Amino acid sequence: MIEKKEQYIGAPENGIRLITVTDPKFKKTSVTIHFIFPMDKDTASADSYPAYIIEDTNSDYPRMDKFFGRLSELYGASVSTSNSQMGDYRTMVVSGSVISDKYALEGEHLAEELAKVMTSCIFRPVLEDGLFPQKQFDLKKNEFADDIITEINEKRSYAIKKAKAAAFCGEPCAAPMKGELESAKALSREDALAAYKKILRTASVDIFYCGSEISEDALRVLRDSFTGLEREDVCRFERTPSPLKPEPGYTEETMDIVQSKMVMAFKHDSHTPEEVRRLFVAIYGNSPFSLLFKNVREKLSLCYYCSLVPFSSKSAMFVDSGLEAANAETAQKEILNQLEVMKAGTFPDEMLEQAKLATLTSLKAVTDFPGSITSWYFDRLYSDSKVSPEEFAELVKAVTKEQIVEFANSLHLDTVYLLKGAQS
Amino acid sequence: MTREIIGNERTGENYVRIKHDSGLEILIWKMPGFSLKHAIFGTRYGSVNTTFKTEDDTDFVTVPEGIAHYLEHKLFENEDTDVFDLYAQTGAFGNAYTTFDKTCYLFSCTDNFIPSLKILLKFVQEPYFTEETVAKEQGIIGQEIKMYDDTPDWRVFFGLLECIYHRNPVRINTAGTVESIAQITPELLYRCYYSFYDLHNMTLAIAGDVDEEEILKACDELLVRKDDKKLISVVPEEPEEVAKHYAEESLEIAVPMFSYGFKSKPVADEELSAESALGEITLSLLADETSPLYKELYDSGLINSQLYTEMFSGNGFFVPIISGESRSPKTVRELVDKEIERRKTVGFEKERFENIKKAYYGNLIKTLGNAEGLATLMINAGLGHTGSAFASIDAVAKISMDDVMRFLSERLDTANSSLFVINPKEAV
Repeated sequence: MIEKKEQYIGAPENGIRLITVTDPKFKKTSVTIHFIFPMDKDTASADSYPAYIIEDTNSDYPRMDKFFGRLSELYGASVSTSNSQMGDYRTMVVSGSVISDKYALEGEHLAEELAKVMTSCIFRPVLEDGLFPQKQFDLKKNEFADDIITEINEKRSYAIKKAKAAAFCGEPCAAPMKGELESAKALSREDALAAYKKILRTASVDIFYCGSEISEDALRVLRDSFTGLEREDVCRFERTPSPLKPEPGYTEETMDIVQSKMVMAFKHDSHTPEEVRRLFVAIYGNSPFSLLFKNVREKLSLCYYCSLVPFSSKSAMFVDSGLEAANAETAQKEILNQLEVMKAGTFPDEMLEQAKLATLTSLKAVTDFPGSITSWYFDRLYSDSKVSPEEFAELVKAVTKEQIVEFANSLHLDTVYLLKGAQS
Repeated sequence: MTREIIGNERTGENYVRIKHDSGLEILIWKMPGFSLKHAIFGTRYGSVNTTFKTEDDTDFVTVPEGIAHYLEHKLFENEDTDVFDLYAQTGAFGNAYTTFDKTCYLFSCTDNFIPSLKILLKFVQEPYFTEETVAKEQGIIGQEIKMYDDTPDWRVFFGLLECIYHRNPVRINTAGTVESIAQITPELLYRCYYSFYDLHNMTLAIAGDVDEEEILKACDELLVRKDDKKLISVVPEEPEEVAKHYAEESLEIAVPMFSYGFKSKPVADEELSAESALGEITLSLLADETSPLYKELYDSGLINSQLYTEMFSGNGFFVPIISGESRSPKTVRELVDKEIERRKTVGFEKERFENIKKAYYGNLIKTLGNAEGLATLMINAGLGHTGSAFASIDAVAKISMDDVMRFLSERLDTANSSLFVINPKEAV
């Protein structure tokens, strides 16, 4: 049975929360630390870089081979960092996981050891003369630059990224999360250190500990590390819906690839409850019984995938698909036709029941995994709906077709982005 | 019907193996307290099975590449309904996948497990193919193939297999080509179906908080008993030497990608888990982040942090692989070769060896709380004839440094290796 507790480390205005979620059935312990702060296109590279430099060394294990050796010794524990986006805000995430202490063959305190490694990465990075060591800095900078340029490798995510830039043009989240290659290359050790310190000083922090039981020793390591942290201008997250363009914008790019990618961005009202939006997504385009799957893929055989991706923090939803360039117009028409079906409410009543069943399945499954329950409660922190998966399930059950139709009518096409395959 | 419990002392876990009267092997892993239930119904039929016969046939038949995957797509359509519509009524999420040596149909659910299981058992046993429905799928699968043609990870992997193998069908994309799938007809699909979808050639794996008795009742009701058709599937004879030592192509990518593999003799089914686990450990010792080789490559800027090791093994193929991104893949190959030869003389560090074995154990423990992971572990063991889902963890516990040195010398033959590189378009 899930047990959840939430507390602040230090004064609430310091914005550091510790949330513990336990269930005896879990086989591993996971610790996830989110640092949230505003997107700023001018400092995007500097703001992204700390996630690289603190990822695989710390003062206790200053060499990468020793660092990973320690993780192997902890039964293949993992520690990783990432940058992600939440509307006009960004998060630097430091995550770690290790098997539950009860499975340690020699009685090791694995959760505590994991917490030590992670907090050492965050608070005690390797420094040389007060800066990140030159050699390590340069290697990580090259890796960072490679990550920026290799975003082109995965065409589906590349197309979505370009569509976001077009749909949210002029808003903070439209800027590339890692910045431009030139700014990454121009980063200095001083810039990187300043960005790292700024994150520790100003980001709001959400720490999730999730496991089969509480390890007081691990929590002490986490609490002690964050207690007394110097804080100022602590980030306060605000949802900022993206304004609808007066007329839909069309952007086209050609690349020497086989399959074209089309992304259609829609914007919607920002007041509709989450449970209504979630059911709309399932019926219109994110399940094998959805209108997009059944019509664009199965009936017209236009593509292998055509599905709906929500961007809740910006009150937007994207339909993305892979297809022949020659079929883009036909697919676009059909995607809009099916939206009209949603708006008119002429989709079968049973689809709403099916969407509810599928959503209830997903909600029940949330409690099976430390990762999914952590994501659930993290999302709740920044959502209007501060409920457990079980409570949310009750809200889902109560949604009516009229609410879905009303929401559908708030959706408007904002942007179409086509990555046209030269070989398509 | 026979029933046995397969357990593992180190983890304290076990699952049940039942040989049903219909010929089907049923594997059940009970997970009290978990919400998600996962079932996989699989057959030993994958993209490599292009030439085969049963006792009903006079001669072998060779079918178009990609037909196993095509059949997987078409089985979801019955005469009067779509399988996804049926799952939608129970709240289950259905899906399927085809690999080189197996095709698996699966679903996940939290409620209505038995009704969902009945859907699975029924539709997999009821093929329905017509000219019209077969033709309709060409567009969808054609787009799937094209999507993979633009996916560099996929291309670098198959590029390597094309270098390693001369004739083994493992070198062909599991989905086939736009041209090969154009040759598929309802008649061919039926022939493949009735040859491979024989319960004697199949396994059902279930993990979750489930009731064994209810599962068996559903199986008794729906499994159609048939005689074993004595299926024989053959692959063309394959020379020991690689087909090419080096090849390259170009795609719209930013940094060159490479895959470096070693052609190695296939392993009998019952030894596959142990030998593959030994391969994973040897590759980790050679090139993981704790190795001197990784440090040398990373510190000299020859690789970014992306360096992966993987064992690609199955029925009739066995290839240890090192892959990643590098602007000088040929230099990476030289240094890997040099390190392999050095290690053959000096061996590996004992502490790293023990830690890597511990990490292997830890990774299995992490799977224990995951119904999908456990069902997958069981289906791979069942269809792969490897004996037990615990085979690899048991094998790892017994692996010695001598085993590692034997693997290094027998299976990492630098003279019989292939490097495949994908360059950014403008660089060619």
